[in-house]
Amino acid sequence: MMTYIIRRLMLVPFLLFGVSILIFGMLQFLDPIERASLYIRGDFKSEGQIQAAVKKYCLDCPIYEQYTNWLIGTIDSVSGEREGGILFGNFGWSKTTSQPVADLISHRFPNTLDLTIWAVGPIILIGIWLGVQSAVHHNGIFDQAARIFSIVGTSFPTFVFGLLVLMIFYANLQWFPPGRLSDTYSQVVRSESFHHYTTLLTFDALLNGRIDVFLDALRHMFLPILTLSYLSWATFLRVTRGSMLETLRQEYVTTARAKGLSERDVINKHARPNAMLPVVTLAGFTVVGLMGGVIITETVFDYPGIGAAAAQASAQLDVITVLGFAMFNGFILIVANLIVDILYGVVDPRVRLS
Amino acid sequence: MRKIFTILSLLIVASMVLAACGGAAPVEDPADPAPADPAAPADPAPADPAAPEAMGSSDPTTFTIATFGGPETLDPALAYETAGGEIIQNVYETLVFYDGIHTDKFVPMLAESWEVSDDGSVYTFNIRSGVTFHEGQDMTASDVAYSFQRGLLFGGHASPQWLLAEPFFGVGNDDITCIVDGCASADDREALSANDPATLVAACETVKSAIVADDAAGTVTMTLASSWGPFIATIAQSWGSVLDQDWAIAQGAWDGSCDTWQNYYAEPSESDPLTTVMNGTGPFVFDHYTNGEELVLTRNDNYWQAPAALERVVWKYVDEWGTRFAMAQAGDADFFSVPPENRSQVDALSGELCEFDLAANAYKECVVTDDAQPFRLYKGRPGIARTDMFFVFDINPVSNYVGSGQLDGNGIPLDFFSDVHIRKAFASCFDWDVYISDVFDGEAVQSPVIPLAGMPGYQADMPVYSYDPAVCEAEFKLADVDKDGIPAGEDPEGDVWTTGFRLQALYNQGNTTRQVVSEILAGNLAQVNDLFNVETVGLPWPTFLRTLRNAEGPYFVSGWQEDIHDAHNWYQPYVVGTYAGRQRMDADLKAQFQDLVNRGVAESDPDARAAIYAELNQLFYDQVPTALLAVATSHGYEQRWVTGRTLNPIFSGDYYYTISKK
Amino acid sequence: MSANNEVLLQVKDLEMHFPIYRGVFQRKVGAVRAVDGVTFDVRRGETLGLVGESGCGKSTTGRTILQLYKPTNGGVSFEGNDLLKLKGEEMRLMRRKMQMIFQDPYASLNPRMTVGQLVGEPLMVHNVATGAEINERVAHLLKVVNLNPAFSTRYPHEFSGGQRQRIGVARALALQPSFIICDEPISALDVSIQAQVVNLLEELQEQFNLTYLFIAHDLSMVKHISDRVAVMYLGVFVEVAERDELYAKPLHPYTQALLSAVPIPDPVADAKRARTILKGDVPSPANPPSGCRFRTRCPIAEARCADSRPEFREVSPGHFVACHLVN
Ligand SMILES: Nc1ncnc2c1ncn2[C@@H]1O[C@H](COP(=O)(O)OP(=O)(O)OP(=O)(O)O)[C@@H](O)[C@H]1O
Ligand code: SF4
Ligand SMILES: [Mg+2]
Repeated sequence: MMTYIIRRLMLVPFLLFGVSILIFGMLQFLDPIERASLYIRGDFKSEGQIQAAVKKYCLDCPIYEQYTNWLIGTIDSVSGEREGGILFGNFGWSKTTSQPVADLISHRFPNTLDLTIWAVGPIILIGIWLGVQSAVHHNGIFDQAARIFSIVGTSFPTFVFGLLVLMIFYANLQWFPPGRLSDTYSQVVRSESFHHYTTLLTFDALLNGRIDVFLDALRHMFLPILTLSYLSWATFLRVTRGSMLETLRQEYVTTARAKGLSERDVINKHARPNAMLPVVTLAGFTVVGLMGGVIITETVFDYPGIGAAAAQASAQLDVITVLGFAMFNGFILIVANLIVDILYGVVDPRVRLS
Repeated sequence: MRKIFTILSLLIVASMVLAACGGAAPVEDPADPAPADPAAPADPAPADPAAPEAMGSSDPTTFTIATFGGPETLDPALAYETAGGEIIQNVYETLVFYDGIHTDKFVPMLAESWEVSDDGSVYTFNIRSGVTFHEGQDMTASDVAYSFQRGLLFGGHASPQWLLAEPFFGVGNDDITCIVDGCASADDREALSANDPATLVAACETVKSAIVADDAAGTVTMTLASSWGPFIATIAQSWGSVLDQDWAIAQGAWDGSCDTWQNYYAEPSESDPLTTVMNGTGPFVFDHYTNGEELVLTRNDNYWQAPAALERVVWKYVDEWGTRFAMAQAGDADFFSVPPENRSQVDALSGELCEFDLAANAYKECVVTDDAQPFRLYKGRPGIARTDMFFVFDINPVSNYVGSGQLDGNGIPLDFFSDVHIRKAFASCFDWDVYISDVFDGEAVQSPVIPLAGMPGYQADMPVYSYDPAVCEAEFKLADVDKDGIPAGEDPEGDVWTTGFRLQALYNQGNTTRQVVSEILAGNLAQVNDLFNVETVGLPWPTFLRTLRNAEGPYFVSGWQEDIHDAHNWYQPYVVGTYAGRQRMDADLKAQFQDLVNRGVAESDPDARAAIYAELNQLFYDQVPTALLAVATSHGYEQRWVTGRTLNPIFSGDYYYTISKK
Repeated sequence: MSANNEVLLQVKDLEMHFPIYRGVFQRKVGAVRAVDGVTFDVRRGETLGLVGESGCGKSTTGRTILQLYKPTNGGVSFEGNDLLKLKGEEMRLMRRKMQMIFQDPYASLNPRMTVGQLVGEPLMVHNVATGAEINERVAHLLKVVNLNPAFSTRYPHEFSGGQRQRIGVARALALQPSFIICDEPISALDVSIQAQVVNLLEELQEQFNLTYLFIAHDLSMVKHISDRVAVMYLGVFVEVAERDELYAKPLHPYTQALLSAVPIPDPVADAKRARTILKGDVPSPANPPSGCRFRTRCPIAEARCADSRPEFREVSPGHFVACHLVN
């Protein structure tokens, strides 16, 4: 197992290198002036800005030179300091948010992770529950209702659903506001007495004993979680239901009944765990998807996660930021895949041994 | 495992329910919200729940602006966009500032008064005493001088410093490098540093001798290259802000030495130490900026004037319009930016209308139209930006947008638009009425001249082009595109009227204004003669920008937003600067313009200046290098509980000192 | 093979129809008549062999008896208790006494549980044993079926087919039932192992005084172990008799056909035998023929065979047949 993990980890840099080459290569379809315009925000006023960008980012240099500049940076001739260089942790400067891309990621990612942690529970648990119930009551009323729910869920665009619940639960009822925290609590969090132990807001709030901050954070996360959940439940329901029906047909389920287990135990102890295999894969992808940032949901609910930032950056052709996100997401994806693989072994002993 | 799951899900559900119940007001009084701001959350709920929510803000001391796109930099020397300008304008202060809603009247701020020498080239400012920076130091004349010197030496084309460089170094010298090596090393620190050190020191000394502080007398004397009409207007903007010298140096900004200034030249905002920190003298103190999320200012209780009414001003950067709209409806946003295409949605919720009176140059008394609606609508004030149609006199041969590149009915020759009759024909085929109604829903006015109303040079009675197929046809027949000396209408060998033409009009995808301009033109040209083909082509932004820069498009539709409210800021780019360059305007025409522009800006007597510009206007009308389109009028909203807003269009955003909520 | 006359299990007119659903709204459009009215007894201590072609409803019969399916119709009484009337919990407790060894040794063991858990679970569920006692009992059971008790921490996929079937046996034995339905316990196994498992089952029967319903798909398999044999065709019993009587004197044309297909050890005798080759395919249990189920393939069918269903009659003591032509 250990060697397997190490082998997979050793692949990570190569995969990231591949990703970087790919993205970098695609950029070369633009000529230097077009690329320079990517560094200029909005309409520009002075002709020199373009030239300045070409010069500064060495956009008319040979490709390999530009790539190495990006990879290891350049030494400023005057100050003697290294500028840029992704290998030195410098992902470049995010034009759209005016800060280093690395700062942007390290600030935004905890928010996305926090949302992921809280969203994963409802999404997976309720999604699985729906699927199991619908399989257990195969063709019953619950199953039919769930089927309709699932069709509606998959066909609802996130954007429309998000705005709809925002209008109802925020604009009208004012129960669940968008954003990350109310201004009052955002002051609490910024105060010196509030310690940032984990950088995950909800956990820090609890560790600081600030239940009010914790609840306010949840209040802001409610609609994103609801939206993410509703749209994912449909998928979880379908996959779990299918897998569960398949499992309920298995002989060992009958065996379990014959043993004299109660129906609840038959479903919970024998059928469900075995039906979880495809669900674990789905859950893995879901978690990876959430960690990579959920663009539309974060944007609609003004949630300061990595997805909203990525959307903003790409909408404004902030290539450096997008590049940084792509690298980061690639990394997350690779690591998360590894974790899912390991989890798979936990769920299925047959995988564990082979 | 399963138990943990169950407990966890119960916990989540329970928390959600609790969080929901905590909806209307904070769950409990946060005991110690923030040391800096003890008052804020003390009184959480509005007193009377039965009172209509729409009529009062839940938090009268915190002002929230829901907008998109945060500032690029908070360094006044570098900020050149409204998002940053708005913050700077509320935290830093300038020597002079705009007088209320007027764009051309000024009041003393950090300068108590000032004198101008008779020839208009020396300004002496008496610096106000008793003003302190937010971090405690007293503001002195040296701070003022340092701020301006630093700005000029900072330079670079990505900054607004060219607006100050020209008055100090002379017209055309739009960067500090122009007095080092004739602008050769503009934007290139490496090249600049390669200059002889003595030359570099001399340039810096020139700046220092042009801006001299006398701390004992409390004055700053600025010596311009020559008289500069709009100088006061220029320094009233954010790039005229005063920094605390010691603080700035401590942050890592230019140390004030003439030996090292080149190391700070053309610093990009990513490595500029003042990008995300602020220490001004203004009514609000910079609290924090969470990039791309929010920016918060708090009230300066030690302000040299009476403190502001608002305690906190919060910008929320919310990209999605629907979300901003929800915030406005929930009463959580006091100001909110509305994209033009969503105006009808908000108009329906506007219960108060304030219309601009062009004659009085002020908004009329607001009238309540529907007391049940929460928003107030301001409309009708002409803006400070305009989109126009620029003809390219000498199209780049690499262009893909000129068809065959010849006068054969399937393209245009590269010098097509150098024929004044072609330009006039195009101008006569454009329909302003359709443009104003389609693009602006009627909320725009045609511009008769380059500068805006109220500026020297503005002539409301100047003749304008308008859609007239007969004139359009006549001008095409007067054109001589094949250059045989015979106008097209009489040319036996045929000319543009008989052969026709084909060209591609470009716009950047998503910019519907630019797209519609060409579509209107294309339709009318085809009506006049079905051999005239204009195809509209949408390009991605980078490609569009390249075609602009390389003069590849036959004509381009582009916008200008003024930096300072002065005629020069309009004439300069249109007839000699950026746009004239991109149009590759004929050299002798440009020379005529250059002469008029130079004379105009140097003239400080308004009437004399107007006379010079009138001459320029006539030349511009006759030559029509650019078809001037229309200035959109304002259409903005606020919550009806907002009072005291100063609606000055030159402001970057708003000036929150005067604003309060009821 | 001691058989007394106490009736342990009584099955009367048992029917198991599986509904068929179609369409978006999953409406019931028909039913698979997997078991369509069977009546028989099993006496304590005996082994009743149940034989029939694949798909004729043997497993379904077994499972329906154990109430693993809810019967469509009919009655099952075990030790005098009407199983259909038992409530969930009562039925659950009844399961202690009646167990099943499943046909497929691969599919019938939960792949996520160790052998110890699989065998020990019934003990736990029925509170027969707790804690360390369970481990002891499991070890003992594994020994009984000739498996190494050390294997109890392993997962089913680590075992061979024969070993797994023995795990299934150990599991079935765990609760010391009096009645075990052995659903083709050997047909998925290699011939070499088949004998081992059959011998094991016989030993256990003797040791624990078990009653078996032993299902197999051909007559040769049950000949050795059964006291009596029942023959099934398309959801119904066509013949039941004492073993020797059935093999010597099959009355139903279907039984005769089956027997003629069984190879006899003596190849010479085998060659001389008259063979009845069945023509055609087995009809679908969703749409069985009218009258006698066998008529579509019966070599001696008559007109009345299509009109009325032959009664399952006792033609001689203990010998039941369902055929119009048998007297
Ligand atoms: N759960 C079920 N749902 C629907 N139909 C079923 C179900 N179980 C069995 N059947 C059908 O009932 C009929 C009898 O099946 P059963 O498994 O009892 O046959 P069998 O005699 O045991 O066959 P084999 O020797 O192959 O095991 C078959 O046609 C089968 O397709
Ligand atoms: S009843 Fe008729 S069809 Fe059925 S077995 Fe007897 S003879 Fe054949
Ligand atoms: Mg079977």
